[in-house]
Amino acid sequence: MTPESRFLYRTMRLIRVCEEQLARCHARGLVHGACHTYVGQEAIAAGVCLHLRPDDAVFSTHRGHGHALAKGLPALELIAELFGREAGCSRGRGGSMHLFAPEIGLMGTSGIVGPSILQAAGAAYSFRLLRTDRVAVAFFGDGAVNNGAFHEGLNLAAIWKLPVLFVCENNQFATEVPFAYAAANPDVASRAASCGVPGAQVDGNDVLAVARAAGEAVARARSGGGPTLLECRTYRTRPHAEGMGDYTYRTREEVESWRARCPIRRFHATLTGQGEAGAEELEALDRDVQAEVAAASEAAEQAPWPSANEAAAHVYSAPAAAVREPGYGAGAGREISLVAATLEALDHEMAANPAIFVLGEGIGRRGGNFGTTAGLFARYGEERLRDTPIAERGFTGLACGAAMTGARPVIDFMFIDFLNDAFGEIINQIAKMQYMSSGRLRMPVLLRGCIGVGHSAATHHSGNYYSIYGHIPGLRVVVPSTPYDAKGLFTRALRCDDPVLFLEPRELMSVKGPVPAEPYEIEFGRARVAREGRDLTVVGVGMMAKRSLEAAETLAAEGISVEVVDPRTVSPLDAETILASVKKTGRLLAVDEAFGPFGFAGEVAAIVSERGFDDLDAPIRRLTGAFAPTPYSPPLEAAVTVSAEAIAAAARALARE
Amino acid sequence: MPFEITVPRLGWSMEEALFAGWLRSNGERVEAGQSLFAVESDKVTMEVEALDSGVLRIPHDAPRAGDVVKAGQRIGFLLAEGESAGEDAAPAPRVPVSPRARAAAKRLGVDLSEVVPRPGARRVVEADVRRAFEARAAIQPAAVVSSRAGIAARMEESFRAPHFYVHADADASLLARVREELIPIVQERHGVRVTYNDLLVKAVALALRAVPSVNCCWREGAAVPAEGIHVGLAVQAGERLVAPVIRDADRLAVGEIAAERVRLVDRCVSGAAAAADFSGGSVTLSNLGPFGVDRFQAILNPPQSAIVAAGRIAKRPWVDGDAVVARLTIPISVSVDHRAVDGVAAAKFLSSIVSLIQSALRLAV
Repeated sequence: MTPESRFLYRTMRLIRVCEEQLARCHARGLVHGACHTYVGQEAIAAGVCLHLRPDDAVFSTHRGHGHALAKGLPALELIAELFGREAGCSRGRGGSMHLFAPEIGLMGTSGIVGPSILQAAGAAYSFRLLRTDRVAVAFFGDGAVNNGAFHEGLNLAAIWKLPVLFVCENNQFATEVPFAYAAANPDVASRAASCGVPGAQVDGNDVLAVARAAGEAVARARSGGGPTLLECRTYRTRPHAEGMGDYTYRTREEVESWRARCPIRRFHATLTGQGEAGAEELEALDRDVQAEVAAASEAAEQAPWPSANEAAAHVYSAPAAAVREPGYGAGAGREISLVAATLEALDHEMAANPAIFVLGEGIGRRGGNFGTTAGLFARYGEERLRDTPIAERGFTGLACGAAMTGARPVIDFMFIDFLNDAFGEIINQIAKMQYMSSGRLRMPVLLRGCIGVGHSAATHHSGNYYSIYGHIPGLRVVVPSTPYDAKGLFTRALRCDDPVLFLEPRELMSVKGPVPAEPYEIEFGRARVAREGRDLTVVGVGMMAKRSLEAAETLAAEGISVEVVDPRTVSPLDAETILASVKKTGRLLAVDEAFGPFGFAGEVAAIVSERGFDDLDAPIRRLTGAFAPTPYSPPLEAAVTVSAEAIAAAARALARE
Repeated sequence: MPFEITVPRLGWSMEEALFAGWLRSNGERVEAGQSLFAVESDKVTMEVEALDSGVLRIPHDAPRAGDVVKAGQRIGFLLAEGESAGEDAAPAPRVPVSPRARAAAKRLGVDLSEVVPRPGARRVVEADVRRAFEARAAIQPAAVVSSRAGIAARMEESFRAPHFYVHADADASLLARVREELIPIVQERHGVRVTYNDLLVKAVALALRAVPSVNCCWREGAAVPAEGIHVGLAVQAGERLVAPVIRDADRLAVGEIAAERVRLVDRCVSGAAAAADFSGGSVTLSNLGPFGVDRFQAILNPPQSAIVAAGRIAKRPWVDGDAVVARLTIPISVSVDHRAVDGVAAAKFLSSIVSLIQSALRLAV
């Protein structure tokens, strides 16, 4: 028996035995959550992974036990993870649908259908950017091919000729919905043509056919020939998930007919029929696998639980070193705009770190809609300043995969409103990846875009939305209000290992201010007391910080002394500085241009009422934008935002409370 | 029925007097014959005894130390246990108390029922509590009371604070010259004669700014930072020694300090001084130099954290390099409440005063 045949047979057998053991354990109550088995589809994982090196990356699905084992995950780590134990590959944070072992290129199974396609394309981008010959593989089911991620991912991989293999495991049901019903064109392989990519269809229950086709595709990818779409027709012979009924949407006869086409039995027959292996030899292998799985299951059952104290560990990477800000004085006499300040930071960091690249619409030769990348294309080239199609979800998911594999993507969204099209990729994937991988993956993704109301930009170009993202663990959310803050925070973001949303108030982008020429960092979660005062505290970020300062100036003339606190980062939020200010003044006005409910101003108010109650001489007041989409007509627009006059009026009233 | 507490007519001719403060607390049980409050008339302070027994109820509109009261005026009640003062007691208007005010009242030991909000205010705020606290603090008899018995009692209480003393002599040559130069200028601008005390108050104020940890009061077992820099000055007002407070002394020019001193002393002499004139200070300056005292150490004026004692400005032997020369010097001592101020801070405070005196031009601007 050749080593390849041995790998294929043993891997398929290992998957089967493991799955059957997990099914038993699920029935016994040892598996606490969902358990989607791979029984019947073993040939695909084995046939594809035969050609992968440990440093090649696999992005998997909710039905990913087989991919994990084929990529080399020890049975113990798989079973222990489903048992919720510390010995599990995700240290008990993931379970069946979040298996991570980046050390062997298992970049995660996933509870969401589609992102694996985008992330594999991103890993492929990263491998080429970092000058390696590694390849990436996306496994996905037939359910994913009617999802936008499939079209966006294939197109991105095709236009950039990325070293990636897209493996569709067409088991004919998306959960319980038949593919024949859900697909207008049920020929998945033929869809490759829409992106000009080679597509092939193979019998997914024939491990040799899968291995042959995958071998060609992996070789093509590794040699720079670009992506391939491989459709493997197969069938899962157990229910969608353990414990579910199976015969409401398909017949017992159909299932039985596919059981008869068992890929393992088929390969067994081939091996013995061709005389490559004897039945006893294969039986010995089977016994070996049985013993391994039994031992793994036994060990997993005895393995300790993870410590509850660690439940919130790994949400963020270890904090970067503390830094000393140079201070506004250091930039005296050198006034540049907020955009110029971030451009300076981006240029400096790109020169220092070849892993940084920028994605966005018009950020290449054009230099960005707001000049955010002006001049960089000439200096760093196309691969690092990559114009994208208008496919926010696609390139955001791609950036996720790139970050998971060592690159440091910057996505320039122009307007944060566009970023909402990539919402799932950000909050389900990018934000949670460090946690799900128990801190073994780092996610240095910088997502930038402008925010705010003004100049009749209307509802699709005026969003603020930072409150939504501030709600999500795993993200850093930065809202600078001055060029000085912007440069220091942007540099910090580029050097940080966490995903950062960097949201530039559009109405402040061309406002100039002093900025030191040298690179410097400003720590996240350090508010700036923008103006000191005695009578009340006003807290606001971005444009609201600026307008609060204007209001404070007005009120000073009336004898009301206003302290303005600009948190600078919404997440983490510097509660201490806000509380210290309220301790001094006894009054709090939280100002936010965004919608009021569940927002930034409400969060500030809650912190102060919880931790600063005894410092309050008056009720906390909020002043927020109207709870309405942003209109176009100037008088309507002015009516929904928060003006300096409105801040002054609210502060005046509060000072008299 | 509650017993009313009224201001007695003292002597034949008294129509009104200066209320000098309660000698019992609101809510305290008082027996007939015990001292209840003090009034001052014709420079004589009298402790007034309770005529009845009961629980003292001081209404919110009761006079505060320094207020003028009329003979016969009802100023409080003595209640039986569980009895209420009734309508006549004019309970404080029911307005909510802010959390900050509530916390401040607890910290400062102020009874919220004594606190009067500003007219028209929607709630009692911290500033109201502070005002009530300072009014109560100003009831300290020494501020206005000159009776020997009152002073004696107060001195005993003051001296109970753990004192700690530091001493130094300052070269006063420049101080004297600066004062000479300032006399005509201040006279012209403010119509008053500038004294060494005015310059020394300024020095104390600037030293407080330099060593802010001294700028505090010892209250309820904690050093409470003072709001602003307000310096008390022990002065003779008629026959009495009083210590009115010059507010924001660090921000006043010496001439303004002089004018404020004259105004305050006039108020004390005329009996117009109010509680606010004696409250809010963290440190008092006492200068016995004009009485020929070479050097002394003073007793604290609680709840203040320190008192600065200045001796006579005179020529004394002074070591200049290796030579002993005759030099105009001023001995300074600082007594601190060692609970509120540690030794090093006291030393820094003293040395700051000395260096300000020696570079007296800084006091003149």
